[in-house]
Order: sequence, then structure tokens, then C-alpha cells
Amino acid sequence: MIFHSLGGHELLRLIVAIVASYLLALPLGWERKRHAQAYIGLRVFPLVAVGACVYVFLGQQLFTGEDSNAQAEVLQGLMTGIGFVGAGAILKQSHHVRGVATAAAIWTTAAIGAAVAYGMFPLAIILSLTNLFVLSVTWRLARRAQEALESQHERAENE
Amino acid sequence: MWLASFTWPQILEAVVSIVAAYLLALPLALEREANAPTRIGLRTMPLVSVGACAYVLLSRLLHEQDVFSTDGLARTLRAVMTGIGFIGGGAIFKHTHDVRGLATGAAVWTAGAIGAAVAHGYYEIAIVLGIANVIVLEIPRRLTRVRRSRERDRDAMGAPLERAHST
Repeated sequence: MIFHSLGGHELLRLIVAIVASYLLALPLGWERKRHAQAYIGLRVFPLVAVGACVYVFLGQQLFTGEDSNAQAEVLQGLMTGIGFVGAGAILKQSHHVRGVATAAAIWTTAAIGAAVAYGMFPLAIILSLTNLFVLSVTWRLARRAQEALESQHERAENE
Repeated sequence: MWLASFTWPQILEAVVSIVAAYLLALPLALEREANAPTRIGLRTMPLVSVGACAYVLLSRLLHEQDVFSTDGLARTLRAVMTGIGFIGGGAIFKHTHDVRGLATGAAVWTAGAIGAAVAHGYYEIAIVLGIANVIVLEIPRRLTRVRRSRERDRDAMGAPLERAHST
């Protein structure tokens, strides 16, 4: 039977990291919930970020000093594992595929959690903002451009 | 470990890398969005590139802080390749006699390499890769279009022998 105590400082760091990764993933979940047809959002994204954060944190506790490179294996496992979770979000119908963007977003969200666990808040914040930008702004612009193109075609056909 | 890297150069590097990873995946994204049978691209490609860039950048910063050795860098890269493989695989769909979206799946996988190259500061690799991807995807499409239009021309002109055989 073994029992490890984190100590006040590390415990506080864990709590801050969990709250931060939750908060940084929440806007993404909210965006997906509103715009994706999938039933994926407010729970999955924060869970993935928090889970990633805790895995990395555990790795930090276990592998210190000389062994610290083993933390890379934790990160490796995280990235592969979340790949599976994301792939599960992809829906295939007979003639189209849906949810690939959501899968990519899930994979990227785990990076937010990992960055937070290492205290790299700037990277995590930038990542969260970029994700939000790609998912909402770019998408809307593209859709608007396509609608403009289609209405142009229609007008050309009518004439 | 608290706020491990809050120096301004590192913040700047994070911003520049992420933005570059986004921009360099954009040509590929636009090409796929316009031409892929599955309409996957405009969001997926930049997300994958940005995500890969973030993971690799994270590992690089940790390598600089002596947390990871070079082995750690390789492991992260390996995980980028495996993890994105699944997402790319999700873009492929199969019917009993037909597979579609393979090129898009492969393109998703390559988008990860763009981000990874950017994170290690190899912008040239990322730029060449971004352009090469579009060329590779574009050329066969043009060729098939030429072939199809030739076939159509031949059909229109009658191609008497073939027609005689077919009827």
C-alpha cells in the first residue's frame, strides 16, 4: 500500500490547472454545441482538456529529475488516445462524412490541457482563441462566400 | 513549473508559430473545401496543423527546459503522426465497390506535418509542403478533366467503330 501526498503547493497548482483548462475549453464546447449538428460540445471539450491536464500532471509527479523524459511518453499516449476519442465523433453516412472538424478540434483541445499542466498559459490561450476563430469565423465566411457564388449562378441561369 | 514560460520572446514565438501554422495550412484547406467530394477542409486542415504545432512547440519548449531529451521530441512527433492518422482515417469512407475521401484523409495527415515543421522553426519545409500538397492534389484533377473532355469530344464526333461495336 502506497500513499503519496501532493503537498499544498502542488495541490493548489493542480486545482488551478484543472480550472484553467476547463475554462479555456468551454468556449469551444459552447461553439460546437451551437453550430455542429453533432451532439458534442459542452461536456466533451472541457472533459478532454481537463483529462489531458490531469494525465500530464500525473506524469509530472511520477517522472522527475533524471526520468523526466518519460513525461514525453505520457504526452505521446495522450495524443494517440485523444485521436481515438476524436475519431469516434466522426459520423459516416452513405454519401457524406460529418464531424471531421469536430474530431480535429477535440484533438487540438487536449493540447490546451497539456499546455496548461506545464504552466504554458500563453500557448493555451492562443490555442483556444485560434480554435474558436477557425471553427466559427472561418466557417461562416466560407459559407457566406459559397452562398454568394450560388446566388450568382442562379442569376446567370435565370438570365 | 508554475507559469513555466512567461518570457516575452516565448509568447511571441507561440503566437507567430500558431498563426503561421494556420496560414500555411490554408491553401490546402481551400483546395480541399472546393474540390473534395466530402467537403472537408476549411476547418479541419488548419485545426490539425495548429494542434500539431502546439503539441510540438510544447515538447520543444520542454526540451529547452531539459524536461524532455531528444527522445521526447521524437516521441511527440510520432504521436502527431499516429494521432492525426485516426482523424484522417475518419475522412475516408467505403462503399462496397467504392472508396472515397482517401486523398482528403492523406491531406489531413500531411497538414499535421506543416504544423510540426513550423513548431521546430523549419518554415521552409512548411511552405514547400503547403505548396506541394496543393500541386499534388490539383494536377491529377486537371488531367482527369482533360481526359474526360477528350472522351466527350470523341463521343460527340461519333467514333463510328466503337459505336458499331457497342450496338
